[in-house]
Amino acid sequence: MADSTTDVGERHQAAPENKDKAERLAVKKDEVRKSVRNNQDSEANVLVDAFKSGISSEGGLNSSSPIIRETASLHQEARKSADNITEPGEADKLLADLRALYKITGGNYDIDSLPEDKKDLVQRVDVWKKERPLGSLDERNARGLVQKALVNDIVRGEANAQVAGGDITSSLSVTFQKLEAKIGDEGKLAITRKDSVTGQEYITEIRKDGDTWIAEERKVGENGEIISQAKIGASGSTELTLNYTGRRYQRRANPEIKASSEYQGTTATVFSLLSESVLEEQTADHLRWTKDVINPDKLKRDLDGFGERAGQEYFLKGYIVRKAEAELAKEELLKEAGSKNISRAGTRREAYKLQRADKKLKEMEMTLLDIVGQDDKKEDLLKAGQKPEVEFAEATPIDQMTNDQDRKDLIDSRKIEFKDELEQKGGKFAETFGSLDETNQDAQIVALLNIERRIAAGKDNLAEAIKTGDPEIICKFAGEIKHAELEKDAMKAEIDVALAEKRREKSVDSWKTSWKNLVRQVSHGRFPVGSVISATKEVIASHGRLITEKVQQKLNPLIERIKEGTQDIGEDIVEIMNYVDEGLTEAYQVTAGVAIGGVRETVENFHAKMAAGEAKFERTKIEVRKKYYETRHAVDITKQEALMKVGVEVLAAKKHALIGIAKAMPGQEEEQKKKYRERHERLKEAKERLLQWKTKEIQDKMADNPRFAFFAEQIEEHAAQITAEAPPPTTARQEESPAPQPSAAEAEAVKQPEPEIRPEEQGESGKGTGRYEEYVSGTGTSLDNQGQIIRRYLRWDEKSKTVVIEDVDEHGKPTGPRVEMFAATHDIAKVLINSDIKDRLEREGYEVNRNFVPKKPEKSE
Amino acid sequence: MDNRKKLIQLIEELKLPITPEEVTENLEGLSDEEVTKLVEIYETVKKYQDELAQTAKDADPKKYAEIEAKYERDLAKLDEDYSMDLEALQEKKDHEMDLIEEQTRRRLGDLLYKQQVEYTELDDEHKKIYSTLTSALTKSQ
Repeated sequence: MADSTTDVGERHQAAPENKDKAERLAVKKDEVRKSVRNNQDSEANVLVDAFKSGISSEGGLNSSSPIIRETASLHQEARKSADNITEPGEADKLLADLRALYKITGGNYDIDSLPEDKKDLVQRVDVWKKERPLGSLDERNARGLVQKALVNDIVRGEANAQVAGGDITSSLSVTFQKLEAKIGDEGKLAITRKDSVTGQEYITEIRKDGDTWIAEERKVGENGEIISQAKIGASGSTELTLNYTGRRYQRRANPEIKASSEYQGTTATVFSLLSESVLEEQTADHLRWTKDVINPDKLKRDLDGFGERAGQEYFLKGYIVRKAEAELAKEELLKEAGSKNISRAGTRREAYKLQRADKKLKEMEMTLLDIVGQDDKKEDLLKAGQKPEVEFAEATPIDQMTNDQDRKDLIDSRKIEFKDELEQKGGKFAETFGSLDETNQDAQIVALLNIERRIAAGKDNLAEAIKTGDPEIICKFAGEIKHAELEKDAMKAEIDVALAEKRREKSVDSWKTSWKNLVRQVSHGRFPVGSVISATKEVIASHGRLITEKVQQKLNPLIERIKEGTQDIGEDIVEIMNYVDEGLTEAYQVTAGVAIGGVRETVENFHAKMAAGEAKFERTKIEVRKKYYETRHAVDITKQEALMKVGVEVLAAKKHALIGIAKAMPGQEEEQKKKYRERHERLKEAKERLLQWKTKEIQDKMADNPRFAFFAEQIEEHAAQITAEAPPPTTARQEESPAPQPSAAEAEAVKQPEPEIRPEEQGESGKGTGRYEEYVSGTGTSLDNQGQIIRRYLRWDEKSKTVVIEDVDEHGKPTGPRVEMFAATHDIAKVLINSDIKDRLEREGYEVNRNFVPKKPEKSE
Repeated sequence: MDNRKKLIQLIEELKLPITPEEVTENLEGLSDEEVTKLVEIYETVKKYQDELAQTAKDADPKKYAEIEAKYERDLAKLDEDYSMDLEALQEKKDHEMDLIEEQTRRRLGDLLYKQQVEYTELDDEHKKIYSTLTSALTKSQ
């Protein structure tokens, strides 16, 4: 080997071959330096990324991979040795190493350095990746990952650094475990889906054949043509098929990889993507619950203890039916979301079906947990049933795409499709579009793509919305998609109108040239005056529709002058011909104006009507929602009142029982009393705290901020309702017992006697015929009537068809005038009673609670 | 848990008649201190309700279970009715929207068709005028 310190200049002079060698060496050294320098940053970034991610997505490597270590050391070595190279061959080798190094790490691979067949494959896979700009997000992402893995495999293959079998199996070990757990007796997992763009049905299947795992997608049909297949052997051997046939893939968009063992990392990626997509469907929240938590087998065993086989079967059958309803509704919704023509009706129907089935299912699951005594799991079940947090995306307009090349590719690919669509339409649409300059063509395509991207984003969002199971959100996105689809049609209509107008301009231009030529000939006296006049008259007579008034006005005096024998009419004839030309041009412009203006007006009208419809819908929805929340609150208040009654009544009754206990079992009485006292104390304390909530500080805050007042008033009203005294208990007595004092409300409730129903009014109410009686009490909350209690006795007598309402005191004695009203039926009486309560209380300065519901008093038998 | 979230949760637990839209709208205008104060008040009410429920449960477990079951049934029925109401409302809106879309598509189709027909007619008219004139003039020569 030559001395590395040899003076190049000396050699240069010494011999021409040496001079060449020195120059070549200098060039090579320079290339190496440049390569090291240029790639330093990107290489550093690649290394950092690789370490961070373990580059598992690029072929199962991890941070301790020999390739990563080799990369680092080679790079270091290259930097040191670039200056010490003495032979061009060494530089070549180092350069080759460096190039391979960058290729391996996914850095700057040079497509031109690949063999032709691989270069072709990289280009085809790139087109395949971009083939569905408007497909689902999942599909687009998946193709992106596969493309990346494939390019990585190709450059690794060139560098003879394929992914090792062990790396493949270890990177997929978790997936294998999940599959083993789910695959069941059938030995496979399979789902049928639809291509998001073409609508073609295909089956995704994962199975195990001996030691080999196989994940594949195949078309539905007798032939079952395989679209993609990834086989992973026990030792990590791989076999990949990516063969997309059909019209959409004819333009170099088919990778055409058939049963190849070359692409290890890609095979692992395809296998992982297909498996995860199937597993994801298999582990929907509900399904996981059914299998892991409720566990039907265990449930059956637990239920055996109840000895109610028939009941179990009935319950389980019901459960299965609900489950099927929910799953089918979800499936239908996903089909709807993937279909080309989303139907509002179909989406709405299935979305609400899913919501109701889910709700019933949840109720059954709760009941199930009750039966098997697994209350502790209820909270988990509720958590599992909570709406998942999903993210909705907005479409990025084309001009916001950061990668210029991607944007250009997208526009070009859509332009080809659009031209195809125009060709299929016939006429000269495609030809006219093709005659537009590139900028004009791109502008139309960009506008169209922006709407199509909104539709695609809407479909992604709809798929996310389905996960929430909320029909309002699902319907909202279905509506947005439909709206955008119409905008797309309107956009196409505008393009069609513009193209037709363009075509018209062209044909008119050509006609004008001929016409001007003719006019020139006439004006130069090329034709005899008489024939020009008769020819003009013939035109006017046979094409009256297009002849304007101007022509007629000009023509009549002209004819007079001809009659007078004037020969100098050339200029007049030319003017008439120009008028004819103008008339025709105007007619074209009117038509164009009607079409262009009409399309715009129609689209504007559409937007206005849709917006008005949306606004009306939102208003009504808010009303319905408000009513629902109010009714739900009323149901809750009824429950609180019932609980209050039970607490007061039963505790009071127990006091008497305690007297019996005291006599029979003296020892236990104290213990019972203690428990009773503690419970009372706690309730009393809680109530006292509640009654003192409205401090001066709170009142000030309410005055300062209406938003604060809003929430405070809501709770004030609620608190007033749940602390109002309960109806008089029937079992309570006033005898004193050793028990502690009840709370204020309880004491009040205990004190209240039955309303005194006068014998003449009692009539046949006890038998339930012909009478309707209620005892109502309410607490005044207005300033003037703070804390006052009003008691009102209501009665309807069928015989006299009369409603009687009167206020009574705490002993049931009337305290004011009676009100009598005519009511023909029981229902009318109820309406009158309810409205009267509100009206009268409000008139008298009481603030009546919104959910003021009269209650029947307890009747003594 | 964040106090704002806690307040929303308490509103839901107490089944107050406030719609989510009202909650969002009014919550925006509250300071953190005001939210904390409201949480305290709402928790006091919740605590009383919990004590009340426990008292009833201790006093008469059977009756308590009946009340709870009735409450669940009523709520389920109410939810179902609400869902039906919303669906009916959505259905009405969907019909209106479908109709507007259908009318718009038809109108666009009509406009395009009319434009095509009129352009063709005018093209023909042009050709006829020109040929009538040229043939009349040529004949005369």
